[in-house]
Parts: sequence; C-alpha cells; structure tokens
Amino acid sequence: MGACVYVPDETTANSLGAARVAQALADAIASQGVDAKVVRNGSRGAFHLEPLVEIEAAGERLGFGPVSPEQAAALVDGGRLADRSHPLCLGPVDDIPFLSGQTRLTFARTGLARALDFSAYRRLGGLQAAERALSLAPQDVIGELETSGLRGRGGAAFPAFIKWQTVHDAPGAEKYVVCNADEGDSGTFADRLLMECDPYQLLEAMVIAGVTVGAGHGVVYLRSEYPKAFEVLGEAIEQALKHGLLGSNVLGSGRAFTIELRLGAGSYVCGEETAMLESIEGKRGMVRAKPPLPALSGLFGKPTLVHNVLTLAAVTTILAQGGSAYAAHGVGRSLGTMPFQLGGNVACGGLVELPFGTPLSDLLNQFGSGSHSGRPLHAVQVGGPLGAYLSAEKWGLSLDYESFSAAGAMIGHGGIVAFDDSVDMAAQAQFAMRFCAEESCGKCTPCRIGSRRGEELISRVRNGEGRSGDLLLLEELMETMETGSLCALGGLTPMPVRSILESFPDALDLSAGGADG
Amino acid sequence: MLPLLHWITERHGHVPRGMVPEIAEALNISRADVHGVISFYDDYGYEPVAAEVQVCGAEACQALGCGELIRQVRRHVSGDVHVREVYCLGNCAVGPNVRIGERIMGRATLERVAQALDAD
Repeated sequence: MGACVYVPDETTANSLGAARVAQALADAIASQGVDAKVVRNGSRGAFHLEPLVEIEAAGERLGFGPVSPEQAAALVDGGRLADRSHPLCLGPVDDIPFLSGQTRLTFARTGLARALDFSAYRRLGGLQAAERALSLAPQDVIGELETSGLRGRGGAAFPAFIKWQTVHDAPGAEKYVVCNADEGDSGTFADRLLMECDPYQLLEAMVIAGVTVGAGHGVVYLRSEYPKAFEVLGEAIEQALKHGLLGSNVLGSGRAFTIELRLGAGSYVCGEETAMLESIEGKRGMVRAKPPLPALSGLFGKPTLVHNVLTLAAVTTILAQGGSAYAAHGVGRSLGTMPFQLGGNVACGGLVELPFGTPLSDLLNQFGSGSHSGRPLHAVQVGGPLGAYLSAEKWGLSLDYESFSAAGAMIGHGGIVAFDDSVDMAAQAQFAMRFCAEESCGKCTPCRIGSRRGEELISRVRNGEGRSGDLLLLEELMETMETGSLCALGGLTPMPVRSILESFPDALDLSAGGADG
Repeated sequence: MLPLLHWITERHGHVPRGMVPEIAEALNISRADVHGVISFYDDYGYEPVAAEVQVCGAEACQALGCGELIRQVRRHVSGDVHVREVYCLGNCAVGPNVRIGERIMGRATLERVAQALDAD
C-alpha cells in the first residue's frame, strides 16, 4: 500500500494556501510516479503550523509545516516523499508539543481523517455514544449528563442536564433540538473547526439529544460567515441519512430524527438563543423576554432543547466514556474539558482543549509562545467581545467558571485574544460600546441607547473633551445596562469597559474634566 | 423567510425592491414584515453590490492591525468595490482576515488583497 499525504481542507488552512499546497503535491506525486495519494483531512487546530502536511508511511505519520505552496513540490523529491531529514519536518504529528500537551476529548478525532469519511468516523470511535444512548432509558442518559457536570459551553454555563430534564418532562408530542452554531464572538472558532473537521460528532450528539428528550427534528443554525462549515455540514447530513444515523430508523432503533441546516444572515445578536429562535422562524432576530424558557416554549412555541455546538459535542464523549470519566477532569463545579481558542496577537494560535483549572498563563506561554509581533504581551481578552480585558497580574487566574466570575471576568465560549503593548486600551473600551450599538437588536432601551451614549462618552473623554461627572455618568449608564437589558449583549457589554477602567487605569482618565459630579 | 432571501440574494446580488410584495404574498405575511427582515440582517439589502471585500474588524484582528488594513484597502479599491467591515470571520489565530466571495484570506496584507482582486 502506498503512502498517504494529508493536507487539511479547512478554513484556516485554506486561508493560508492549503488548497494550492494539495494541488502542488498531487501534481508532483503524479509527475514523479510516487506510490502515494493526497487526502484532504481536517485540521488539527495547530494553526501556526498550517498548512500542516502529514505524510503517513511505514506506520509513521510525520508532520511538515508550515508548508507554502511554493515549498510543497519539494516534499516529493526524486520520486521519494520527504522524511525526517527535511528541514520542515516536525516529527511524528502526535508528538508536536502544541498537540501532545492537550487533553483532547471533543477534538480527539479532528484532523485524523477526511471530515466526511463516515467509515473513518466509526473506526475512530464514532457512533458508540449514540448506540449506548439508544440502549438506555432517557432518564439514565440524563443521569449520565448530571454525573458529568456538563455546563453550557456557549457562555452561560448553565447545567446541561437541567435543560434536558425540562424538555423531557415538558408535555407535548412535538419538540425540537436546536444547535446554536452562530459562533459570532471574536476570537472563537472551535464550533467552526468541529463542524468542518468532525461534523458527524455534532449530528450524533443531536440524535442522542432528540431520542432522549423526545424530539423528532433538529435544526442547526449556522452563521453565514462560515461557508466551508455550511458545505461540510450539508454534505454530512446527506451522508448521515444514507448511513442511517439520521432518518426514520436511527441506527436500526426504530426511532426517527432529522436535521435541517439553517443559515444566519450576518447578525451577531442571533447567537442569543431567543433571537436565534425568532430568526429560524423567519423574523427579525429580536430577543424574547424570558420566561417562558425555550425549554418549555421555544421554536414555534414548542419545548426546545437549545445548546451550543461544543455542549452537544461533549455529550458524545460523556455517553461513550461515562459521565464520571468526564467529570474526572476539571476543578470544583467546572468539570470536564474546555476547547479554548487562542487568537489575536499570539505566535502560536489555535485550538487548545484543556481541563478546566489550567492557569491562563500556561495557555499563553506554553501554547501561545508569546506574541506574533515579537513585542511584549500587554492585555488578554477572554470570552469574546463581552469578556474582560486582563492585565498581566491576572494571567495566573485559573481557567474555570468560578475563578473568572470572582475576578469580574468570564470564560464565555473560550475565546482568548492577546494584544501586544501597542494596543490603545481606551480605543478597546470605546469599541466594546460601538460593537454593542451596531449589533443590538434594538428591543430594549438600555442596550440600544445605552451603548450609543457609552460610545459617545468614551469618545469625548478620549478626545480630551471630558466633562465633570463623566465617571459617575458612565458608572450609572453601565449599571442600567447590566440590570435593565433583556439579554447578555447589553448586560455584559460593560464588562470589558469596567475591566479596562480597573486594570488599565491610565488608559481612560475620566476625572480629567473636573471633580466628579 | 431567510432561506428564500438568501436564494434571491444569491441570484440577484441583492433583493430587488419590486419583489417584496411577491415575497409577502408567498409567505402570507405583510410587506412591512418582509421589509423588517431585509433591513435587520446585514446579508440582505435592496441595493445591488458589484463586488465586496469584507475586512474583519473584530478584536482578534484589531490585535494585528486590521484598522490600518481597512484604511489601506478602502484607499486602494475602485468605486464599484464595496469594502465592508465585518465582525469576525472565525479565523482568529491568523489575522488580519479578509473575505472576497467565498474565499477567506489569513495574514492578509494590502498587497495580497490587491492581487486577489486583480485575479477576479
């Protein structure tokens, strides 16, 4: 059997030229008559090494990267594939420190095979979770989730089993499972990576959710900024129907479950669960007041289980390995692993799945290896545009829900964005308000108007036109947003602003206009 | 509603105003509701767009100087190319990022954007 040359077919890899690398390699293999084939696998998520070419021969899988399209053909030289002596060789892929230092449960399979290869999915442990779930009573599946300690990975960190129990117990024959794949937070790409590189895992998790809570239909709401994920997931649903993971007789159980893929239209607030439900129903993405909870009255007024991609995906690990095995990772009430996403100004960015409780500094130093620009790191924003900016003295924080909450910060969806010392923190504070103003659905006043006033106020201070009492005014404005907003967009926008005022006090001098009002 | 508007936008590059009554009738909703949805979402619009360059303006790309890149691209392109600042293309480890059509470009520079536009 010939060698296998893997070149990722994934957004980040392709954005750095992977498609041209694959073409160059295929051409060189053909023209030099090498016994090898090119396979477009998923990405491992070590994005600083992309395009990462893997050559599997003689029982060994070696990594080479980053490989530019111009360097690609030289990996096939004189009719031979490159070996360990090649200058771009990284050694066996599994031993690359960025990957071997992680605890990969949800992302254990990404990058090993072609994303849509259904038999590879089964060979690599796929479908075990669904087969087990189908052999259990729904209450026992929910019990496994409770044991696992799984909490919502989209940002709210709500215990997953309570939602499942609520939807399960809700009366009515018609229920839905909705997967929130509207991953809009800056600095996050874990949902995208999972959907592009291991899509069946998400579908399998939704099947488990459906048969457990008694829903026959699922919807994936995917943001339109992810064309590759749309293409892969769409094809994955077709394949899953063909292989009996979806359809009228799921894995021979006699149970029915189907999934529809819906595309968003460029609205950030549609990542909020009730705005998303409105959007799926074909309306403006306006946030709904809660209660009623979506678990009781969600999509089209029916009981609806809404989860983020990562929460659902974790369910397959929990069912396949058991809730207590999952709960063995993590600390306190933050159990299991979290797929963190390292981005912004980092030397080595990508997907880093670690148990909760790892210090942020480990992530920045061991995995991130400092800044991309070479300048010293100055600030790190954790948890997306609504998350806090942390200064160096806080980088020792343990990455778990409780520690972050106690520090006035949040883990959110696990996005970590690093900035070097050229960052203008006052501009970041103003941007937080501007972003909220641009993306507000407009339903509640604190978010719609508060963010505009907040932006104006910060802009005024930055221009040296601060007035007496601005500090008090901003404080009152933020308190109104926090307590009076319908959803997390308005409610959490003050978090980054507060963190800048607290941790970077020199950035924005609000007392410049005179004594406090 | 959204799948229909995506379908129309894909074919026409925008939603022709004249189609609003037809959409309303097909979906049995008011014209105001159709207008409400079209005006809410960034992906829909009544004006035809010749070509669009999306530059990510979110935090992870800000950390790598996207502000300057947006200014450079705006200065560089000709009048019929629309430069839109978008919030997050989900390629945050290799910014700044630009999207032209279905193609996303990581570690984008003015030079590479200009090349890609010339090639189109």
